[in-house]
Amino acid sequence: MKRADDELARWVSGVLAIGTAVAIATVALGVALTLLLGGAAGQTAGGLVAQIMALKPASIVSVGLLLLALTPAAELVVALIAFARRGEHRYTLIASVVLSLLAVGVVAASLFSHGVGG
Amino acid sequence: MGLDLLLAASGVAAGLFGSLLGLGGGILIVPMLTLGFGYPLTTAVGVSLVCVIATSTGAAAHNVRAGRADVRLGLTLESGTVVGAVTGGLLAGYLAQRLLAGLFAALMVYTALNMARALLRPTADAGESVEADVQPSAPDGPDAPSYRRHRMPLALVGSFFAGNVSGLLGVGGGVIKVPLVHLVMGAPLHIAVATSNFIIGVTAAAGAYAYLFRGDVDPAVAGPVVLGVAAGAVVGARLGPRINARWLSALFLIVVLYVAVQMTLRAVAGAP
Repeated sequence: MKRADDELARWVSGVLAIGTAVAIATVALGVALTLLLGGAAGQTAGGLVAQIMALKPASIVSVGLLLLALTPAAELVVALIAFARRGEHRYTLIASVVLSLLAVGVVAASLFSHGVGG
Repeated sequence: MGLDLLLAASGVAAGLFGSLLGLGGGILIVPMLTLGFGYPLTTAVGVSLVCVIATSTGAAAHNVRAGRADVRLGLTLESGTVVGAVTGGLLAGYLAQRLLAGLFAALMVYTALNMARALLRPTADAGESVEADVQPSAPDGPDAPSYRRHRMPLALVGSFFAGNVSGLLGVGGGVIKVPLVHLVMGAPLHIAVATSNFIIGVTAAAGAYAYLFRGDVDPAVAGPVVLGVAAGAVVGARLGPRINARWLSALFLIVVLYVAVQMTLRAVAGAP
């Protein structure tokens, strides 16, 4: 199997590796601070936005989780740019569609997030 | 502190076994958090989806750089999985926990049957060397792999279903996607595994947004588990070649069947 050394592979794998590393490091920082400060530092309520706005050490964990959830979206953005630069219109279009579907998912999640849950 | 350590240790176990068995780990995290720690199923599914993103993106970075994952096929199938995952994630907030438990039990039985079939197969993958010259990173054109557009409508329908299962039950859905790309489309197994893993990150993220915004992902639970899963997956990737996968699969099969029974009991009895 040949290594895929083209721009597409380098960009996509780079974003995935950096995004994962930054997100995991942020979660680790939040968990470490929560353990150091103890008790209430880890308690947040509500959805993601409320968790982050609580400005507690646990909010840093929530920021890390958000970064993790956004890493695949960032990967789609760089794939879209790479396909556009290569003139691969079919995959530029498909990447745009998947990215748009993901955006619809975020909007739908924020709209339908109130008063529902397990 | 004690609970954090227990959650992290469970994450390490899920990440380690998931990596050794070629699974995202979600199929282990959900039962651990519900049956082991007593969290509601929607919380377990939300936390699991975030963990699945971590294991998928970490491995996909490596697979894409090495040219093992077919990014073009992955993107195409993601158009099906993302729609399925978004609807699954939103729907889970409205479904009864008993129904979700029943669906999870059914998924465990399907997984167990798949693993049993793989265990009974005489050799792991006899056809790999024949297809060694397939280039999953080749653009469309004369060098494009023949499987890339084979039975695409059926593959897209299957992808929607896989995404829906992922968003509803908090698993990566590799147990559906790998057979889809390998058996339905005809891609070699190692390419199917790498491409499925690539798709899982975007799919799990699409499902996770609903849980994150709804407040089902408690950072006090998700933080230690995500760190544990990430660490376990790294160790599993290093140990992988030295472990006898058949014995591990046999052990896992027993665990899967046990969890299927427990989830069925939960679905029937209606435990929280």
